[in-house]
Amino acid sequence: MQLLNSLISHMTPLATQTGPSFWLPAPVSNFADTVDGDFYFVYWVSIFFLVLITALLVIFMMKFKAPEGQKAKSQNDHNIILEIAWTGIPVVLSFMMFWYGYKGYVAMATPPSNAMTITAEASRWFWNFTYPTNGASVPGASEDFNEIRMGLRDGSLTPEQAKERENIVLEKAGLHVPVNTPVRIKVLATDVLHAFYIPDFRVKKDCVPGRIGELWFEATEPGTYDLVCAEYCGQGHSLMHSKVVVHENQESFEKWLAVAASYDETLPFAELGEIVWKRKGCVSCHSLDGGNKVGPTWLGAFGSERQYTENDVAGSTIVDEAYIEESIRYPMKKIAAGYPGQMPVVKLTDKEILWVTEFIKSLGK
Amino acid sequence: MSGDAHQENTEGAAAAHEGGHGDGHDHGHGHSPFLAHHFDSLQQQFEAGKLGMWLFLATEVLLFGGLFCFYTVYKANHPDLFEWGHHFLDKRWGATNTMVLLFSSLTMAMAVREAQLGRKNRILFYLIVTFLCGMGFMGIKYIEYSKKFHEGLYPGKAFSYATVDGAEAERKKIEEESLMSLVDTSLPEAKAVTIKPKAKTAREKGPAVAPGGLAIEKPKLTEGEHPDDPNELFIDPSHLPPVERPENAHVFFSIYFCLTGLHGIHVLVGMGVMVWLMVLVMKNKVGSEFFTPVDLGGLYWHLVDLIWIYLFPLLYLVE
Amino acid sequence: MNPNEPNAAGSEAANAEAVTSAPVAVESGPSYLTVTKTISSWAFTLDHKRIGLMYLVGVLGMFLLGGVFALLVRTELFSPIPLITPLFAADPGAQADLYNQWFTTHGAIMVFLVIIPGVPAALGNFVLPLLLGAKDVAFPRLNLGSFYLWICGAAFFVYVLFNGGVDTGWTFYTPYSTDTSTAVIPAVVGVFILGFSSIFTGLNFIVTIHKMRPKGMTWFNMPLFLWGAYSTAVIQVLATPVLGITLLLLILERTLGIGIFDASSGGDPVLYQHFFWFYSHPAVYIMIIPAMGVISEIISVHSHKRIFGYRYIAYSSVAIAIFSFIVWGHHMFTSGQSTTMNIIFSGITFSVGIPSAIKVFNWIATMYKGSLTLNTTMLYGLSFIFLFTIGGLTGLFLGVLSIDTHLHDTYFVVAHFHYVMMGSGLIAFIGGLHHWWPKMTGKMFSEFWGRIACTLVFIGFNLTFIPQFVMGSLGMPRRYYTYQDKFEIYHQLSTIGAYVMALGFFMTAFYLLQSLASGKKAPTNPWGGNSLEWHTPSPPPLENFHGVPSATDPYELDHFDYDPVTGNYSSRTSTGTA
Ligand code: HEA
Ligand code: HEA
Ligand code: HEC
Ligand code: CUA
Ligand SMILES: [Cu+2]
Repeated sequence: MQLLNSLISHMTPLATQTGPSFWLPAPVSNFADTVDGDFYFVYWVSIFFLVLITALLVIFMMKFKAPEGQKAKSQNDHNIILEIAWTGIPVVLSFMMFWYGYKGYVAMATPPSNAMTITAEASRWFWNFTYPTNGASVPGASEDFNEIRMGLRDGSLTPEQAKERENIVLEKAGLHVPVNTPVRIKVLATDVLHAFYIPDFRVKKDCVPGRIGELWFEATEPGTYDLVCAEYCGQGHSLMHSKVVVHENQESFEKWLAVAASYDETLPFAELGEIVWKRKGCVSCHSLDGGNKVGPTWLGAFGSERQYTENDVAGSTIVDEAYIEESIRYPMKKIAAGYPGQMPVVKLTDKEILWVTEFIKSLGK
Repeated sequence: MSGDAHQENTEGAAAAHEGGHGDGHDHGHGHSPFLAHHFDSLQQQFEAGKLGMWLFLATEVLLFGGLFCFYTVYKANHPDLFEWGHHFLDKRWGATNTMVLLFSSLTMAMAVREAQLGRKNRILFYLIVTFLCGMGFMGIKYIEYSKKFHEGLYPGKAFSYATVDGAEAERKKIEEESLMSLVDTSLPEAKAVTIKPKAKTAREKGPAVAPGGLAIEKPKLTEGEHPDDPNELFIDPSHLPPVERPENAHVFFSIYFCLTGLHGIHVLVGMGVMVWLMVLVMKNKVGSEFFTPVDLGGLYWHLVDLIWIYLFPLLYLVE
Repeated sequence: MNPNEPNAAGSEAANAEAVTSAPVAVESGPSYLTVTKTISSWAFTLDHKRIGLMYLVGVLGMFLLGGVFALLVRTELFSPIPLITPLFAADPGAQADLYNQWFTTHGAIMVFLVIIPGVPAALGNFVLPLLLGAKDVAFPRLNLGSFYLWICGAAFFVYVLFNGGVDTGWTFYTPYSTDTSTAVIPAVVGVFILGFSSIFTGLNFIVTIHKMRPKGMTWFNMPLFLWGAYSTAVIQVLATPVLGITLLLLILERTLGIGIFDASSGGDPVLYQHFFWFYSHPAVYIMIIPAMGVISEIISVHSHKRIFGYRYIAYSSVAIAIFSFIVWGHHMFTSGQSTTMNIIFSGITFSVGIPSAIKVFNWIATMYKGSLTLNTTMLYGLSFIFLFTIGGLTGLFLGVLSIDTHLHDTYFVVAHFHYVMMGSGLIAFIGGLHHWWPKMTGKMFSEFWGRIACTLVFIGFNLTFIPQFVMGSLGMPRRYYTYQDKFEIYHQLSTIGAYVMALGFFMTAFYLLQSLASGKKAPTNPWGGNSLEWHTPSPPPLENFHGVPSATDPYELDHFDYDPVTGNYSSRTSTGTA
């Protein structure tokens, strides 16, 4: 095994580099080297067999090509030594593949006891991260990142501007972790399946309603990386992006955490409401421009008349403060006519509900 | 190959194909009328049919296997659910049905035997008895189902907790009342206290004996009076399970209806098969030379029977 | 098939009784295509060849439909900003929904309507009794029944297309599938029905192979295609019922809320995945094992050399079928099933690689010192070996626990399964179609266009899916309507490849149809094969053989003389039809 290990480390010329390589993204977690090593082991075995098989195919094609009707040179149809060889060699190689994968995986599956636990909660189609020290609940801010991405694409943002905006967003959003610290992520889902995936860290876990999943990692390189949803979850699946920020040290992380936990309460309520709308994911179902998404638009909603059903009984009401609060706290009670009863229970604080209400009010009657 | 043989082959085949099936009236060539054109011998045809049937039965077992998995997984995760739910199933009906099906398997076996002997009237007789047993089974299932539906014990989300809640509240009231009536109010109060045992599992068995040796029997609940309105949902409190109601109680009924429902559909199909066999027998399409359909129908019926033999203890006799 | 087309035997065929007992009767009887001509003689036919042909038309039609959806998907992905969905829907949300419906429809059609029935039901129905020397399958009526079940299932899919679509992915994972407002139930009912169609085909084949072999044909005397068909049939019979009940439970969950897959009722969404993959993993071998059978025939016949390692290939088919039942958990490595289960499933997964390796090497050894005819059919065979090697080897990446944690649900998986399903399963199907085309239709197709089309498909295919491996391992998740800019170049290459491939397939469709109208008449044995189907006229008569065939050694291929004028291989020593 010693020999094999050293052999393998030679076969993985790219595993020690820092940026993305042709095949794999940047290796920036404690697992990246193992996973990349396993990857390149299987890769070179595969290349060997692929080259061998292709070479044989091509050589035989050229050498034994014959006009129609010509007899074959031989009708030999078995060779026990060959059979043993091409059964035995794959057996050994595939056992090795299994073995390395198993070793690597067991390490990934057992978080160290001193790991810091962050909860990542997935909902359609946003993330929410809860931090242990002060219970701060920070949004994934998918919408912001997608806006920046689109801005970059259509040229309305220069790369510098984009970077700047991203930094502003990241002050109060995203998954933040200190470098070289074991972090355990508890993954949850509120509605359907999602998957927590950080390609640069080589970690992934499905978020399953009714189950608590976990994964862990130790980021090795400060920087900003992508966090995406890898399990199909419907309309907004491909927009369920967020970012991971790896802080240079514990202090910088804690400083961020203290700020991220609070809203800038000097802002007017309506603006705070808009922040909540974005950060808590209302944005994915409620538009502000009259367009229909999963839920009713908020444009002109306040004061309008709303038909609903409650326990299969139809009714109607004016959209007022009380109705809005009820809709947020108990979304399944009154289901607005023409919409599916799909609104999740998003836990908002009393203040947040107040702000959202003001925000909806500000969108006109 | 001789030209004659060739011609004969083509003709026979063309006839069979144009008629859509080898309908057995093609007597000209010394073949058995029961032999389909593409088989060489009756023996081969019979064996093919039999193998096909066994394979089909395997798929049936796997079909039910999925449901049994549902049962097993749920039971492993929530044993209390079954502890509670099986009290709603009437063991007497279940046992009767088991007997009915066992008996019908016997008559089916007799039918197969008579088919081998080619005794037309007796085949018919046994087939009819088997069919009637199937009817009996479905009749009893009907009674059981309609009771459940009447009480609002539907599968899934339609399950009505209202009746169970109501009955539980009523039972509590009756229990308290009768306890009060048992208690000699002149004695110090402490003696009348009922305590619950410190149950390790969910297997609680109602109030235990009070301290002080004053045995207070668990009050016998008598059959309550049914509400006047027959449409009102009602469960007799005395029929409520003696254990506490678990969470997601409705899932027990999901499982119950899925398993017995799929089985019931199979019984109905089996009864259809009986009718088809009777028609075949009457049309003289089955004889001692060719009894494959009866044999295969019998196999199917035994499988349906066998599945019930598993369902009965799994659902009705949980303890 | 146009019944009025000129056919050498056609004129005599109008009246079946007119068959004479001339010495050349073997060649002059009416073929199964011409023996009867009414529509109902096709619609109610019990002849396995006609049923096979009807399946073939249906499957190819569905392939076209699935392919159109693939092209829609690929066109949309040419750019990360919405490209063609805005043509169909104004609202951004609805555009994303539309894309989701496209890939779901594409996947479901390709899997359930094309590749699972492709080789077994379409080709298999046609050649299996011929290879066995039987007059028909054991249960012809059941066979017709399963064809109509297929039609019925296809009808449900078409209904779904026009009534809300379905956007769950072909896997129908809960709880999304119990929650979405699209037409999940009709789609699921369609799959359920198709499942029964598949079960009945499998059941029929098992019984036929067991009970209808002619005298003298032992198990180890059968052409390898039959071993493949047999192993496949076992999977069809034993795995599909579980899918059936799973889908029923899914329907009940969606309509009644029975609670089995619903976390809030104490159920478990992961249980659905177990149920689903218990079927669907074996199902991927339903796609590949018969394809491997086809390749065994093609490689041997077109190399004019005995198949190498007959028994090893035969046993490895059975081994793959058996192992396929115990590896389903490798689709769920990140789903939260226990670490121990993951390790066990990963370990067993590799066991499937061994028999596959045995097959690949035996095919190559078959070619050694052979006399290779590099015609269209053989080119498909060679493409298969190359593409399957890539597809299989990338399967090994996915079986390695640590790597799959990174690669699961990325385009790497998408590329893997297209290499095995499309690059192997479907290529073998098209290869087999060419191999047996003369036998089925009595016509030769254009070799010239055939080779060009095959080359286009080969190049286009690799261009489509190799970039997907790269972007997948770089972290591009699958089922994404829009993606980050850094993946754009890969997606564009991929889209271009898809169009090249589509061009190749359209070319194929064109020259095959053209051969029906004006192709050269096919001789009895155009390739020099010795299995029984090459001993009966092309196309075969109604009951397959004139007289009772006696078993041949299917791989004794060097006793033929080639006649360049008729293009026929005739045997020097007379084996074959009595
Ligand atoms: C025809 C279909 C087909 C076939 C044949 C295979 C073959 C294999 N597949 Fe694949 N697979 C699919 C269809 C198929 N697969 C589909 C459809 C999915 C995704 C479904 C979805 O999620 O939508 C999937 C997904 C899938 C996964 C889950 C990935 C994920 O979602 O994370 C895994 C994981 O183990 C896997 C593994 C394998 C393996 C090990 C083989 C093996 O059988 C391959 C064996 C072949 C070889 C190994 C090559 C030949 C051998 C040699 C050249 C010699 C050298 C060999 C050695 C050294 C061992 N497949
Ligand atoms: C057998 C199965 C099969 C086949 C053949 C294909 C073929 C193709 N697939 Fe498919 N694909 C799947 C099975 C298959 N796929 C599955 C199961 C999924 C997963 C779905 C999910 O996630 O739920 C998927 C998903 C999938 C995706 C991922 C979507 C996503 O995750 O967002 C993509 C993207 O590029 C893609 C592309 C293609 C392309 C370009 C082809 C091309 O090769 C198609 C080329 C074909 C044509 C253009 C048709 C031409 C036909 C004719 C002209 C008539 C035929 C007549 C004769 C030849 C005689 N497929
Ligand atoms: C997954 C989609 C979804 C998300 C996320 C969502 N909602 Fe909703 N919402 C709906 C749907 C669907 C309805 C209409 C059905 C109903 O009344 O429950 C609705 C209705 C409402 C209503 C009643 C409005 C009216 O005009 O009838 C309010 C208020 C509301 N949501 C607030 C919020 C807030 C605040 C958030 C975020 C914290 C939020 N929603 C997040 C889907 C969503
Ligand atoms: Cu969330 Cu995909
Ligand atoms: Cu698999």
